[in-house]
Amino acid sequence: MSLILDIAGLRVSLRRGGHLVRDVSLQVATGQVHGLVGESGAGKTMIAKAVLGILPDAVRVSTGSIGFKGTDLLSLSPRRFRALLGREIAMIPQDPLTGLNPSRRIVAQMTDTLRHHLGQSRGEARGNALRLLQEVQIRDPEKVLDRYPHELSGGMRQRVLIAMAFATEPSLIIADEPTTALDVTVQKQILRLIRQMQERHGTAVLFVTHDLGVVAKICHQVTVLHTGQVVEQGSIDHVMSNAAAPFTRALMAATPRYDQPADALHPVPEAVHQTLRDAARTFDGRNP
Amino acid sequence: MNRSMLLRRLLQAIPTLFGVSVVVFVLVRVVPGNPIAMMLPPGATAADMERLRVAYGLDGSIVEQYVIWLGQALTGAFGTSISLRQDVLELVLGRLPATLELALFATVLAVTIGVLATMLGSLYRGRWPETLIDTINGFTLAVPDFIWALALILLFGVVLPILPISGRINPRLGTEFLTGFYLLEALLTGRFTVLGDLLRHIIMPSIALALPLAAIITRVLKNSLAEAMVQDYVMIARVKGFSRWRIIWQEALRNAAIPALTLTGVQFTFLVGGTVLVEKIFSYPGIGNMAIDAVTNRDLPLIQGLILCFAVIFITVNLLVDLSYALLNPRLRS
Amino acid sequence: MTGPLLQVRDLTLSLPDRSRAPLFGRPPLVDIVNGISLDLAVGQSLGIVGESGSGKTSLGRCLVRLYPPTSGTIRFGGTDITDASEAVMRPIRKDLQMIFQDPQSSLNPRRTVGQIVAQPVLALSVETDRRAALKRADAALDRAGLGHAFAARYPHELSGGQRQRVGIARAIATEPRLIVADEIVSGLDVSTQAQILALLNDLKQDMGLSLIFISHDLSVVRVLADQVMVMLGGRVVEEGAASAVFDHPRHAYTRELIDAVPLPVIDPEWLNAEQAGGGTKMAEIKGQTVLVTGTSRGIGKVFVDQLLAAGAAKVYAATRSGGGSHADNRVVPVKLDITSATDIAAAARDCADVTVLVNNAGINHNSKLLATDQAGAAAAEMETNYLGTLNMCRAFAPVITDNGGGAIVNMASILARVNLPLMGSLCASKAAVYSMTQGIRAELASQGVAVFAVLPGAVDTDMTKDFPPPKAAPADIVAEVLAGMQAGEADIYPGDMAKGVSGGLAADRPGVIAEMAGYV
Repeated sequence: MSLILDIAGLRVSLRRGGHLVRDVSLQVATGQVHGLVGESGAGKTMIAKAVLGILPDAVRVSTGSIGFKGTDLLSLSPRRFRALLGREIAMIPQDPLTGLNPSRRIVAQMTDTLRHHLGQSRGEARGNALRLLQEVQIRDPEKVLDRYPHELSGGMRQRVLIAMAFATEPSLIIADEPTTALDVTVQKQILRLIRQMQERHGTAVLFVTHDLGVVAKICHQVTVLHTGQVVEQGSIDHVMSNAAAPFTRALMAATPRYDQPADALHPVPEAVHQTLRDAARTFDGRNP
Repeated sequence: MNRSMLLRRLLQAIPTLFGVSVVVFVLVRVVPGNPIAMMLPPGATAADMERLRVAYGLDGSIVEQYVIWLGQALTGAFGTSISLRQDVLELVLGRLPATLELALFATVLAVTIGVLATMLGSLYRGRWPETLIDTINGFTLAVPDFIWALALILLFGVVLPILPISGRINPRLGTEFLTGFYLLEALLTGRFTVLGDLLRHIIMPSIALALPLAAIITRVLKNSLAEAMVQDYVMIARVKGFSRWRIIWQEALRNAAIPALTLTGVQFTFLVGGTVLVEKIFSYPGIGNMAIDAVTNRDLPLIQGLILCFAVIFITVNLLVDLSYALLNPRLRS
Repeated sequence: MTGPLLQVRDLTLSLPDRSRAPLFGRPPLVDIVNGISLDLAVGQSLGIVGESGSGKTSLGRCLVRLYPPTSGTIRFGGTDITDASEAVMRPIRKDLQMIFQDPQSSLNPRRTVGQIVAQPVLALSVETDRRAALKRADAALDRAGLGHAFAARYPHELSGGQRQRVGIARAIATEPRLIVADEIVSGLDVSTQAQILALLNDLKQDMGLSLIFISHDLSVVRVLADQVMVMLGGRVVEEGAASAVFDHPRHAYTRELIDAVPLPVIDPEWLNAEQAGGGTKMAEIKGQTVLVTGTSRGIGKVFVDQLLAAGAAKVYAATRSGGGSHADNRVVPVKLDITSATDIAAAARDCADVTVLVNNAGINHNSKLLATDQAGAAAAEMETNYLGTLNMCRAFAPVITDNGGGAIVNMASILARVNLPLMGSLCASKAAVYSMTQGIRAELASQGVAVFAVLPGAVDTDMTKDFPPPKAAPADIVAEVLAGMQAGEADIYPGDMAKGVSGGLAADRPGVIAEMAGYV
């Protein structure tokens, strides 16, 4: 099992000062799904955006490295980085409704990477897009290719986006809350599909989510984040059954479950948040 | 837009045209000025005047006059021009192609300038080309088309006399045209010397008309493009490894064009209005030029015919704009 | 006061469907909420769960009269508020508050938190003095766990959780008796969400508040609800005590919903497990092209009308004679005798856009198995009821598959499961239909075609005039069939008699058989 993504000491900072990600390290190996869990502001999306090179203008990577198959992505020229994106690294976005361009046909959006990066002809790329739609179990794929996004349901659009992400057989896929906007029954289908595709293609996946339940079902490894710091990291078995960090344990206890009555629910104690906020402040004091 | 909507819009045009005709009919008759008096030589008698009034149907009440006019208009007879003594419909249709050619040429020019300026601005976002484009744009927005016309004449007609300052074509070329669309006809029949002359004549008036429109397009398109550029599908396109230029062109521009198009449609109607002054300045033989003469001469039938013609143009353009939405926005097609 | 605080009967909300607007005139209506009844006692909480498009949000808005219901009644505190004017509603509104999904857009950005919370207090004349109202607002903010120091702040200065607390404070400021809360914790972080849920639980207990809690998240509903209602396509598919519904769901759709919730426990099988109900498939009605056989009378006729009302795009109404017309232009009459191979082949060719097939046509000779007076009756029943239905399935299965999947509904009878001696040969033919339906269901399972067997008791039509009572009204039977299709019940038992017999067979099969034998 070779290492695909090797993030070391990643620090993401606001240009006007202040850190959003504080020296985070994590590794994702071939065929592994690595969950990046945390609440809003924990820095999980910033890490994903740093890997994809799409950080907002006001934000930059200040120190650290993002190793991809042995190359530091941060050291590449924009041109060489773009040659990797879309071919070796792809993403599945959160919202299937806005992830597809409303004015382009599905076939155009699915084939553009195949043609751009792999130099396939129009017909060849269309054939591959068709095969991909079949693989993500879309009914009537031939017709769907010629449709516009608004003609498809939310679940179908997410299937299209998944097919698109796997089109060039990338080594790494960044999935940014890919099921948050979906109905629960559709979510299960999509999670199953991501797992099937990922296993079949041996793809490494960095899976960003706020939902511990989703993590438990699809991830092999987990990194739990709070205020841009790693509070817990390890195999899914370890994190689910004997989490060491108070925050991880508190988060589990604060997650409502349909199989448990109301009195089993305990909000995260303010002291837990405070301890971690203090740690972040200490970090900032040492690293202005 | 489906067929039933198209039909609905065409039906809606009927009351609009009717309303325009009523308003115009009443307005041109209540404004001061006597067309008959202007036609007669000095020293004509009251009896002469009365004879002419009857001849032009101006003796009845406004309602009577309108009913007669409407009855004739519905059969295609819009009366005879008082000052030019020719059939109004023939006059208008004879001049219309020149104006349409000018307006369309100007619009194409404006859209091209607007789109290019916006794309350049977006490509060099936050750097000096964007600032330069914004500055020029702000200036262009503030200057109306007829000032541009005068400035262009001064610059390329007087100081640096490289372009003709009046007319549509050099009469010494002595070419004959089958239709009124000279540019198109010259292009299709391969008469390139004539085409060059036509272009030299049309370039200044069309730039004068196009610049303010281009500035407005740039401003609106810039905003909607900035909105489109933060959409998820643009992020996906970035992650696909496409260049910024390709992303703007392929992903964002089409979606950004929808609000800009509405505005271009509305502005096109203003542009047709703008031809009135600009055609006069360049002595360009279109309906705008003709309209000024008609108003100066109180030529009631001709004014009515021209304004109805403008109304038809407005309605057609608005319909075309709505149709082109469907072209840009697939959601409206089904 | 005795009786429920909120009593709702047969509530329906229909809205115009603009996507199907004609050139002139009004667009047709679609049912968003369909025949909902509920009772809510003082201090009780009801959770309404469903996925997007289930009608749960529209129902909530109907209950507080933000949308006017199309039909049915709503009684609140004993007063009928179904068609109450705003003047009548005003004094009631202070007892009946709503908290919205998106705190950002429901709070006026130009007002301070204190003014926002005091606004309903003044508007509903709970207090007429401004200062008294602001004081009340402070108290409500304290109670909502925000602290009255927040009264001077503006909404944009607050976090999502704090804004939602403002929404809660505004709702409790008038000391209401019932609050309808719509998705108020979706989009919040887990730690914030848990705090808000705990707050609502406290308020419920301290203020004796009744609560209607609408959410797509079953786990969240479990925290707050005593009673649960599961909605699908504007209808209720299952309701009951929260523990009963969550621990022992009866309905296939409820099971599917529950099974789809990812619990934070490791379960390698979860992702691979087939969906609940042994692969039961649900069928949509809306937008489908349906062919119904035997539509000249009885259940078939009712099927056509209810399919149209449920939003079918087109209905082929097949009759043996091929005549008949319908006011709705979505209905296409078809001549089809299901015992004729030529007719069936022609129908499969002419109606190539069918996605749902309802095999309703059948005959009934009321013949005893060993009676000699009606020779050939058993053969005729077999030919129409069994072979006719089978041949229709054979002809249309490829059509439906070609159209991307759909459903087949075969009308059998509760008599398929137990023989009624007076009409033994009919029962045998229906048993054959039921058996055949199970077989086809298995064969088509992988091709996106849901196959349903309908096993009603006696239905009140002219075909069953000789049947013993009780007989169900055809409209009720068909409504239950359509609901069952949309809920994915493979075997649908519409009507009390069918459910009773089916339940009886499960509990005491010999007893039921003995009772049926008693009819001789």
